[in-house]
Amino acid sequence: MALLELKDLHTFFQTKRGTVKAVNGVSYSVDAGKTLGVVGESGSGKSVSAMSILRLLDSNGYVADGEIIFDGKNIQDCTKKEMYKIRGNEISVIFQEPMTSLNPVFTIERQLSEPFIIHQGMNKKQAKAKVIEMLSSVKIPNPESVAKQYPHQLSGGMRQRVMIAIALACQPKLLIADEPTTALDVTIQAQILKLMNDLKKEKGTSILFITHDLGVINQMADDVAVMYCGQVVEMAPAKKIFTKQKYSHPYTEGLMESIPRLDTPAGVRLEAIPGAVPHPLDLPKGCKFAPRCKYATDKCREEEPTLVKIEENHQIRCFYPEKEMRKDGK
Amino acid sequence: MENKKKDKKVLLRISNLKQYFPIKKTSMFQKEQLYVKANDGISIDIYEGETFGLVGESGCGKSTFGRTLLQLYKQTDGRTMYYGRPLDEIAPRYMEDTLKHLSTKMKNYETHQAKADLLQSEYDKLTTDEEKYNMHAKVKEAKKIANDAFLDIVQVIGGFFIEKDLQKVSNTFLKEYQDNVAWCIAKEELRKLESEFEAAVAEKKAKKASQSDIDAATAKIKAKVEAKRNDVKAKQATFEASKKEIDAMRAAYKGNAEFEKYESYRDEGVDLARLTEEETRRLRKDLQLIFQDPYSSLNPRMSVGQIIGEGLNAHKVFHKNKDKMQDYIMQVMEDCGLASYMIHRYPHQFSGGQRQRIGIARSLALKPKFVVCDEAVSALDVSIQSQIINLLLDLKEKENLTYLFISHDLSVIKYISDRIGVMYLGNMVELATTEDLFAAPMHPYTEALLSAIPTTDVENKTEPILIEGDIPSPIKPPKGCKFHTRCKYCTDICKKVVPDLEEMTPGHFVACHHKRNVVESK
Repeated sequence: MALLELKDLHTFFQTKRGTVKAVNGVSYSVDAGKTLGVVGESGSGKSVSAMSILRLLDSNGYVADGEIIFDGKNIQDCTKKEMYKIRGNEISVIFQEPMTSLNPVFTIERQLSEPFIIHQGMNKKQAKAKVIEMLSSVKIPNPESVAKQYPHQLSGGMRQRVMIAIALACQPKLLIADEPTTALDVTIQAQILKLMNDLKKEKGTSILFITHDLGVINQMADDVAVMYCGQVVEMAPAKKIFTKQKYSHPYTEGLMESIPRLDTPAGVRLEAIPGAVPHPLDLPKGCKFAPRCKYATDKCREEEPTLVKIEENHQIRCFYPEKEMRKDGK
Repeated sequence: MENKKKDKKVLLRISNLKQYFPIKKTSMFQKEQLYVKANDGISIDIYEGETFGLVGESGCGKSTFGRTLLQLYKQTDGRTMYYGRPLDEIAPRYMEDTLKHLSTKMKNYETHQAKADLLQSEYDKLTTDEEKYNMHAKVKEAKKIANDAFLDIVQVIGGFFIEKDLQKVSNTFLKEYQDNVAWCIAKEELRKLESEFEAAVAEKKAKKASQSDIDAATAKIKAKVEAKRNDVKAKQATFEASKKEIDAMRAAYKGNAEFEKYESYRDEGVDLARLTEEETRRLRKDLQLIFQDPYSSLNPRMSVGQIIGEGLNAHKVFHKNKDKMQDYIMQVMEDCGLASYMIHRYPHQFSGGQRQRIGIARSLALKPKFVVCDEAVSALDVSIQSQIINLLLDLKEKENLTYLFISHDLSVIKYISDRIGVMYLGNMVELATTEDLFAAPMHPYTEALLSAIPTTDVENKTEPILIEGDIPSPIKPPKGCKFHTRCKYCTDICKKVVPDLEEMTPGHFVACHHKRNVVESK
């Protein structure tokens, strides 16, 4: 059963130069106890779609249309007060930059005890014991001394562990991880990813995992949604995305070919996707990917394709989802 | 492999490079001056035309290494020999210094060598491992100092090291050196005059003057150029003559084995670390850098043309000849995949990928020989990243460039590099060809690093080897092997003795007491 479901979500930003349609009709769902990976380049709307769920948008942003169904109810209808109860309690977030998302003037203990005091009505003493417990559950060595330290005294990996501890404090049903390991080194990244996977298994938390790194998605996700220009262009189980299938979206295909893999032979040039992501105020007519797509036809440049279910669990937004057809068709 | 190495030309030979940054004392009672040891004795050769990849976690000193190499920081210790240009084109000042004080330097060397020998004999007498461990570093340090003093001398005078009459050697070499400098200065003046002349002609031509007018107006400067040209020829002849004098002295020693031995130390490279500011500036043309962040590395108030032309102006490549320069800039832009009509635009009008292209064009405009790419593609989106990688590879082929490619992204490094160096806390822990490194990593750190890369491979999802903990502080790095605090194979020796970088199989170097994946060579 889906724990979270976005239905045709539109999030717009009002700017001086016009309305930026950052998220333009996105639908995806996260099943209970599963991880949904959202991939895309910068500006594809992957973070904005997730932040819309918690209403953590900049002041000029708003959800223009669509439904956000969490745990059976539409949280669009919730009042501000009700949202406070959801944030950090039922849904929590891990941000990319662990330095800027922790408050530099408070100790780790003070920041980590906040959710216990606010959401679970504990007193300071009880919260303190809980803090130590949480810190050790994210494998921080000598939690007692770390609890008394300030964020600047910790390394990047440790800070991210603290962030995870804060996010998991109230045993949320859903964890939104927005590029949680992008700022970290590979060895530290491996530690954090393992920790998240372990916690997921242990506590049954669902994860909405946002990243631009396809390798990380492969490690973490059960299902994958590929986003481009505010839309989901392909959605499938991770296995289908990462193995050669009969059907795929040309953008997904391009992404896979443009990263150097460890088994890419030296000397072979990478298949780069030409051009750059279009400006959100100046989106092309028809399929948003058409200007960069090597298979694009006149139809692609005129009409906009819809997300079509090709097979069980596999949706693609393209007129020519079948790979063979693309080669022969043009 | 040894033979293969010989036919590759070394472009840069870095030995024992150290870069320490002093830290401000926290109190007036603090006696000891602390340093961040960003690079702690790195030795590598970089061959002409190769891409040398450098990987490591953040804070391991890989960027510092790239910058120190280019002498953007004054390196604390070590030699950085550059072979991209013949020695007599630069005629560095430090040679004069060595030649003038030859006898003092010689005495200096002898004292240091005696000290090192004494320590070595003491070390040999030691019986327990414990004592040996403690003494090891001391002996190494003394030997290093003696060797440095030795190299300072022989790299300049070569076989004449054995000559008794040092004064004669000193005088002859000094004369050659001074003739060389005079020739260099004359050449530089000629170059300036020539470009001035060219600019003057171009200016007249732009005004549609007739050929005779042009000739009349530029006659004076033309005469100057001619005179300078003769001057250069004369200076060159003098220089060659004094060179012959040295050759004659050398001939006297022909067949002397000892002479030949020291002669082999003579070095045709330029030690970048000991150049003066002015000399380094002249070499900067050859040694360029591409930055990571395309947003902060371009001046927002300069147009693309100005950004790319800045280096050309600084080195007076076109000397007031604006049209020629503009044509050249547009050519460079086209080469780097930018449309030439964008020359008057400003950085904010470009996307991230295009900005990175501007940064690349700026570096390549001066036709460098060696380029340090410091995380050049890390800040870019996946689809743009591959475009830039392809561009870098194309340009390398076209211009015969040598890259030092610094990145924390191992799959990019693997794709682009011929050889890879793995750094940990200011040291090179492993160095090998790309194939060797990925097939059989010998250092436990490399092993863990390689296994930690998230791949898009579904079938072979392997459990990564996790390294516990974080990188220790480079201010007080662990004693002995710096990796021992996180290494699962750590034993007593690791905590005390710094492992040397040893060549295990040809071209595969590793610094570890417990090497992995070592195949006994037949």
